[in-house]
Amino acid sequence: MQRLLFLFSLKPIIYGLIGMLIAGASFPLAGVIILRNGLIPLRYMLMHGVILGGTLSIAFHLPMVPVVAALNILLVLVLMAMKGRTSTLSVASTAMMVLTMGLASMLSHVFDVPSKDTLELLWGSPFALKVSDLWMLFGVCLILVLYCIIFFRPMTAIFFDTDVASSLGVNVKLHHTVMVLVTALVIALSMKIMGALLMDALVILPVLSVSRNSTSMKGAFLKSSICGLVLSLLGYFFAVLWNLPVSGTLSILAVAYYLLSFLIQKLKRLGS
Amino acid sequence: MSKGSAITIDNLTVKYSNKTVLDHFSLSVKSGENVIIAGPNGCGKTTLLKALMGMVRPDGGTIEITDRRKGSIAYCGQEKASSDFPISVREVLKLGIPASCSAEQAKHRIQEALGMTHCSSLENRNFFSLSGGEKQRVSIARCLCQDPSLILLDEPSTYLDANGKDELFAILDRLAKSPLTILMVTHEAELFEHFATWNRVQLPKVGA
Repeated sequence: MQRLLFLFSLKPIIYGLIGMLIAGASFPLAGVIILRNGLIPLRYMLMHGVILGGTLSIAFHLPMVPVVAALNILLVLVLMAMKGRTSTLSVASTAMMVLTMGLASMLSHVFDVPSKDTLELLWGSPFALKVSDLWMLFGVCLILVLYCIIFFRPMTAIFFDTDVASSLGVNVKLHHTVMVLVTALVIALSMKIMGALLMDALVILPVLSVSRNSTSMKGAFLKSSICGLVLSLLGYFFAVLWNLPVSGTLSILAVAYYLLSFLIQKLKRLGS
Repeated sequence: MSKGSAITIDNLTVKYSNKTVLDHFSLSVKSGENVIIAGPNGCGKTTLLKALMGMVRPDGGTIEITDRRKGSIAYCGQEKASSDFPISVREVLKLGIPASCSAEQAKHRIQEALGMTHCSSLENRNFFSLSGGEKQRVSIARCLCQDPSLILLDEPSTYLDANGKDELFAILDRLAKSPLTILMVTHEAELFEHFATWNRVQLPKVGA
């Protein structure tokens, strides 16, 4: 107990805890947007964007998070311009993925950026968060939460049916662009906290787990958020307690919960 | 626009890229009239409805709709495919309620629409767990929540089984007797037989 209290008095652990609290409660909302808008290919493109952003920031000695966030926004804007005119989302994002990796490779070579440093971005660490990162995380999460609250109705209409949403006067294109931009920011930041490879544990899995056992959109939003918060807190606590990697611990917990929800759904069906 | 007209379409032309989908199409629909627009796949039926809703910009011609207040045009498409993400029937109906409505008015409208479409028992269910016929009844209920003067139905019975079709037809028969203007597009011969009293318009396939 004394050891635990000591650990939670250390600044990197406290900053990590704050980051996990904010991200755990709000990132699943981005997961809802990603899943409902079919943005899974976009997510992979943004992960590659993080590698290019990381390379750029190391090569030019720039702050990593703003560079990664700005680059991801730029990529999304280019993608939105390409999509519909020349190709589908998945084709356009594949092209952008190749481009970003190609540029990252060239920059690494020209500016002698150690590949290991760049790839470490994919693993991330909440213990490496600085106060400025926390403020940025808070800002992006606030935008995400406010967007979901203020525009819940048009969002629901778009998720339900884009034609119905248009007939109700919802500006589908504008909302879609805003949703994609917010998602891009969330992915850029979740990379820093969780690492790209385990990001799904906090963004996607809570949504998949709770949507199975929900009957309303509002309920699914709320439950996803609560589930993400509980999972991130438990994962962080266990990781600190047993000296385990946070991302790995959280991922295992998230998968365990996902399997449990699957089992609950099956049992419910058998019972009814 | 002549007196009593709900919709007047004059020489409407719509092109996608260089392909002409609707070519100088004209139609006049009176207020309270029920019209069934028939035509083969790809003849521009859905495009016509989208043009009426302002979702497609015409390349030529004009569309005049008498009632232009917000929510006056309600749209019901084909049966929606399943989804892993839930949305309750109540939430679907709420989409149709204008933002200006009070909570009490909204509740009243929802109950009324649910009653008219025999969906009262479905209110708290997940929309995507419903049968095809139930989904279409709820979609009509959502249209009614808008308090529209014009309902656009886009192939409403496609993918429905015999029971689903019977349920849908019964509701449409009832709506046809109301002051609502209804425009339904379809390629299904079964609908022409059932709605034989509705005015029928044939939409030609451009280039055919």
